[in-house]
This record gives sequence, C-alpha cells and structure tokens, in this order.
Amino acid sequence: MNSIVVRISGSLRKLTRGKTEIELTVAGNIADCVIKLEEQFPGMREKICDEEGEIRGAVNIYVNGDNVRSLQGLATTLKAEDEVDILPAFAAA
Amino acid sequence: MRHEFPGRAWERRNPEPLNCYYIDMITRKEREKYDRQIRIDGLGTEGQEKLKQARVLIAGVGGRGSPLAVYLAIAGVGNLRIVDNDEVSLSNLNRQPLYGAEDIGRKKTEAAELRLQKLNPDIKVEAVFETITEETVSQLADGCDLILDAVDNFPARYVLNNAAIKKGVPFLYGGIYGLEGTMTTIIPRKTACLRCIFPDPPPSEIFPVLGSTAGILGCIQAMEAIKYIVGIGDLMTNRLLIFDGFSMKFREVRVESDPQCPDCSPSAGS
Repeated sequence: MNSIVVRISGSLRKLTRGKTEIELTVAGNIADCVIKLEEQFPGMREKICDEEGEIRGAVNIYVNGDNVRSLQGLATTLKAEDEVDILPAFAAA
Repeated sequence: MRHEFPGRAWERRNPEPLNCYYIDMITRKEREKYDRQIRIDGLGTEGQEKLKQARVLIAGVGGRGSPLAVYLAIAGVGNLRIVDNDEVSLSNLNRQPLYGAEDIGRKKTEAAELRLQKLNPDIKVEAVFETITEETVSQLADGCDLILDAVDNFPARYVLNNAAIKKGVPFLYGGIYGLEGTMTTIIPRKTACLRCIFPDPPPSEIFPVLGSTAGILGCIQAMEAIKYIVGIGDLMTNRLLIFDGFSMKFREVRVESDPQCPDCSPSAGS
C-alpha cells in the first residue's frame, strides 16, 4: 500500500470543504485514487470523470508534475510518496 | 525556453538595422520616465525601444485585464489594443481597478482607454468594443505581436488560441479561481497550445474571485509579455504555473503538445 499526497484545486475544494492536500493510501493507480477520493468526498468522481469514465477534458491530473494523459491515463501507476495534482481549468478573468 | 525577438509584425514596421534604428527613438523625457526599468540587465534603451514599438492585443479588460493593461501601459508598451464587449457593473469593482463607481454603466473599453491614457499619454490605446468570435478575431489581432488572454470564458480563449496559431504570434493564457490562478505562455508550433492543455472547456458558472488574485496573475502575465517583447529571461513555455493563495505557494507542472490536437497538430491544417 502506498501513501500519496493529492492536491485538490479550484472548484473541487468545495467537495473537500476547503482541504487542499489529502493523504491517501492507494493500492495501485490513478483510478484507485479517484475511487478513494469519491469514498471520502462524494461527488468527486463525477467532477473528475465523464460518463464514459474517462478524465474530463477540463480536468488535468498530474503525477509528480506529469500529465497522466501523456502517461497511462487512469491506469497510471502510483508509488509511495508520489504527488498527485488534480487541476480543473480556471476560467475566471 | 530561450526565445528570439522581434516578431514578424515588429520587423515589418522596423526594417532598419536595430543599432541604427534605436538612435533618437527614445526621447529624453521617456528615458527619464523609464529610467528604473532601463537599468534592468538586458532591457536597456534597446529594450525600451522594443516596448515602444510593440503592439499587443489585450483580450478583456476585467479582473486580470486591468492590471495587465495598467502595467503594460506604464512600462511604455507603445500600442495597446484593448477589446471587451462588457459594461462596468457594481460587481466588477472588487477586482477591476481600472474602474470606479462613476464608471458604472459605461463601456469598459471607453473607461479603460481614458484611464490608461491618463496613466501614460505617450502610448497609443485602441479601444475596441467587440465580442471575440471566430468572425472578429482575425481583425482584432491584426498586426499584434502578442495576444494576451484576460477573458472570462474558455470558448473565447479557444478562439484566441486558434488565432494565435494561425498568425504565428504568442498567446499568454491565464485563469483564476478564488485565491488560485494558472498561466502559461504558448508559442505556436513550438509549445503546447491551450487545447493541448485543456481539451474541453469547464462548465460555465459565476466564479469566486478575489481582486488581489486577479492582480497577481495579471501582473505575472504583464511581466511575461514584457520579457517576450524585450527578449529577456526564460518564458513560461511548456510549463503551467499554478499559484495557490490559500497556501501562498507557487508550483508548476509540465505541459506537452498533443500530437492529435485538433487546433495545433500538423493535421489540424491551421
């Protein structure tokens, strides 16, 4: 089991009640991470993933600074002490 | 990324060899006015002349557009084209310091032009009250060396992103939410474009915004624009800057071009 830190940004913080960093124990990959977040913060999965279960185009997930879209997407594996950023697009002027 | 200036539009207006052209282009008054920034390593009189000759499109004069326009104006960027389709409202005044209560109901472009010309009468401000669309953007960006994003929605950003790709001029993206903000510098065909970074727009909503967040990001965009025009420093290319005012931290993530990008990939045909 891996202990990772997940940084939550923007509108997603409404679901975490303002909490910016979440420490999670995750078994495998980004998909597991999203499931864990959904357990703690209901509604998170729908904000991150679309109806097909893919990461929404207006949300980026980074592992140690790399976008998982250029890795293995939701199947991107996680290891202990990885830092995950979940960043929705900021639109305000 | 190290970059090369001048851009194509600048070269068109300034065909003479640079060392010859700079002679007498900065007046004594301007030399005194901009003295503190002329002293910056790498900027100097030549950099000030580049600023004077530059023409930039500021898309939106709201939260970020206000500080962006102000800091480019007082730095002596010679030609500011400001575009907005909105009028000043009471709820703008927490974050848009170009305007005061007396401006409520006025076109933002008109009020902003007056304010900017007061701040620096030596520059030219073109105020255009217009909506940024696929039909209008080409003319709005015509002749500009740089496109600066200060709009409040992604559909307009994608239009600007496409115009930047087609015209081959840089596009500085910025966005804020509450006490947070992001920005990156897009150099067409060399870096990831906005569509590569965010393939789809976020849902439309009324966003929470603190004025100082808009100020911080607007100032960062202004600094990046000045660096690009002058040709100093490293640009925020292929990196996304993330500012979090809650924790008062800056961090960055890497961004990469999407080989399948519908806007900027070779197969996009832009």
